[in-house]
This record gives sequence, structure tokens and C-alpha cells, in this order.
Amino acid sequence: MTLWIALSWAALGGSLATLLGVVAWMLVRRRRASVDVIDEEWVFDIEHYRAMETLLAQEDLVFLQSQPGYRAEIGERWKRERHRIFRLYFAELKRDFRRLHAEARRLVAHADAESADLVWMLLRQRWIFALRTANLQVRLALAWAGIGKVDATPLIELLEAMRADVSRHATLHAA
Amino acid sequence: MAAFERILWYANFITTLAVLVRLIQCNLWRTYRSLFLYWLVQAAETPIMLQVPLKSTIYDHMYYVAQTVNLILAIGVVLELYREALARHPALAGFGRRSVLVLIGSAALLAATGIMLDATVLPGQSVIVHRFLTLERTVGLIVLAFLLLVSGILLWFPVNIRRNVVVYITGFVLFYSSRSGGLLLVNLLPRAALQPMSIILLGCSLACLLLWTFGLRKESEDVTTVTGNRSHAAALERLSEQLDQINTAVARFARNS
Repeated sequence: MTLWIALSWAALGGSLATLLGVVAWMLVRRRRASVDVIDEEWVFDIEHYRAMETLLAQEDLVFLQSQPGYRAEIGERWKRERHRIFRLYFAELKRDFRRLHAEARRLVAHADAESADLVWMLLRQRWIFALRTANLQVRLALAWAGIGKVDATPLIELLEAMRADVSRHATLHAA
Repeated sequence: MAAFERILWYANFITTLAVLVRLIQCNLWRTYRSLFLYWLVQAAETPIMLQVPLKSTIYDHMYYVAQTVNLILAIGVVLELYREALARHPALAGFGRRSVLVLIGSAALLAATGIMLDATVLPGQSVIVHRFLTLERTVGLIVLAFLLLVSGILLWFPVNIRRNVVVYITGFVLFYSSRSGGLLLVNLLPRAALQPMSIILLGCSLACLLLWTFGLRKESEDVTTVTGNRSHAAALERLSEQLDQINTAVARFARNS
């Protein structure tokens, strides 16, 4: 009985505290005129992310290992630096996703009744994006520790789905 | 009933009448019909309840009936709130109609986790009253969780919300937070704590009523937003292109990693 009561307190208290926390956080963010909202000066530039393609490529490390004078610590430092830079790019990519998603939400909020299904799509995609980025973060941490390999495929699939959905709806409404 | 408790009860009654007058005066009762009905019923119940001795079986029965009616009306109130908050945004309103059951289900699931909290009936407490308070608290928690979920949705979308709706939601969040917490404590604490708890609950209720009395205004209904604008389709297309660019970049990264 005591265990059930303790679980009950934890579940109810935790859920309510989380809900209240999320609402309060959103309220504060909204009052600060969130950075996720696209302003006139912000320009999305895909060229900015080209460097990510080669950052974690194993070929570079293999080449480095074949060079005379190579030591294990050089390889370790190389990996550490590459991961650090990759994380910086990844953080920026996530911020861009959030900005674009915020823009999509703004458009949907002012769209006509036929766009109601877009709301579900945006909710679903934001949720899946959060899960998959969390997954990628864990994989990055494991890869840094020398366990496993980074796999960004689920995130790519999500972005592809999002792009396709938004594009389909945009074409539908433009018609 | 202690003198202070009785004063608070009268103050609640008078402020309830003030809320009703305010709603009529500002012609808001037509927009917020459920809210108006909720407080009209409360106003009708109070003088009747005051005639009945507090520690009597008839009072208990009247309390069960009154609170059951209030809870049914409260559900109507939050549904009206959800509808009104999204009314000026056609796409979100459509989403609102389809999502209401999901939201109520989620809120009910959350509230159900608290049923076990006061499973033990303390000596001197009536089992029926105890169980009814658990039920009342659980429905109150459903209302509270539903309101928090709705607030989350409203904040997530960059929409202009009418000030009256914000006041309406804030009042009910405070009202049902205090009521649910208070009812839980009434069941958990010994009978000696009943009167202080009743005073706290009446005080919180009075604060919410004052918020509605002074917060609900006619001019706060006039926030305008652009809806159903076809030019947004072009912007959505531009957005899709940008997302496509992100997608391509990450795809290249995946191939090379």
C-alpha cells in the first residue's frame, strides 16, 4: 500500500509539476519574443552546414594514422575536436529547425479551416524530432566514448517527411 | 461555522453576484454562457446551503448534489474555453474539435494517478464523504490538467488570445489548483484541520472571483487576427524549400559518417 501511495505521489506530482513547468517556460519564452521566430534579417543558408559532411568521416582518421610520426594521442585529439565542432554545427541545425518549425506554426495559426490536419502534422513532427535528436545526442556521446557509430538516418527521414508534408499542403492550398 | 468562515462565505456569495453582474454589464454572458451558468448555479446554491445546519445528513446530501452539478458545469466551462480560445483561428479550431477527446483522456489519465493518495480513511471521517471528496478532487484535477494542456497548445502557436480568455483560464487554473489540493488535504489531515482548510479554500475562491470581477472587460474581446489568408501558401512553400535544404545537408552527413 505504501509503495502504491509513493508511486501515486510521484506520478501525480511529477506530471503536474512537468505540465506547470512547461507552461511557465513557454510563457516566459513567449514574453521574451522567442529567438525561434524568424525575423526579417535572418537568412537560412544551407552552405553553412556543408562542413558537417566530412567532420566525422573515418577516411580522414585513416589517412592521419598512415602518416609518419602519428601517435594515439594525436588521433584522440583529432576525434575530440571534430566532435566538438560537429556538436556546434548540430546545435545550429537544431536551432534552424526550431525557427522553421516556429514559422510553420505561425502560418498554420493563421491558416484556413482546411489546414487543420497540418496542426497534427506539426505536433507529430516536433515530437518525433525531439525523440530522434535525443537519440542522436546519445549516439554522439557513445561515439565520443568509442562505442558505436553516429547514425543520423532517423532524423533525415523525419526531415524528409516534414518537407514532403509541408510541401504537399502548400501545393494543395496554393492550387 | 466560525465567524471568519461565515464572513468569507458571504464575501464569496457577494463576489459571485458581482461576477454575474459584470458578465451581464459587459454583455459577455452571451459569449461565455457556460461560465455565466456555472456562477449562476453557484449563486443559487449558496443561500440554500446556508439555511441547512453544517453537520447534518441533509447538508451532506445537498453538498453531493451541488458539487456534482458544479463539476458537470465545470467540464462545460473548460470545453467552452477551449472553443473560444481557438475560435478566431480556423485551422486551430478544427484541430481543437478533433483533439478534445485526446486531451480529456490525457487529463483523466493524469488525474487517475492520484486516486490512491488518500485511500486510507482516517478515524472519525465518514467513508462516503471521504470517497466523494476523492471523486470531486479527481474531476477537479481533470479540469486543471485539461486547462494546462490547452494553455500549452495556445502558447505553442503564436496566436493572439483575447485578454478575457487569459483571465478566464488563469482564474480556473488557480481555482481548481487550490480546490484539488485543498480537498486532498481535507482527506489526509485529521478532522481538526477541516475548518482552517475550509477558510483557505474560501479565501482562494474569493481571490479567483475577484480576478474575474475586475479582469473580465468588454474591450478585452477586441483583439483581431488575420485568418484564412491564402498568401500563406507561398510562405509555406518557401519554408518547405528551406526544410528540404536542411534535409539534404543531413542526408549528406549520414552518407559520409
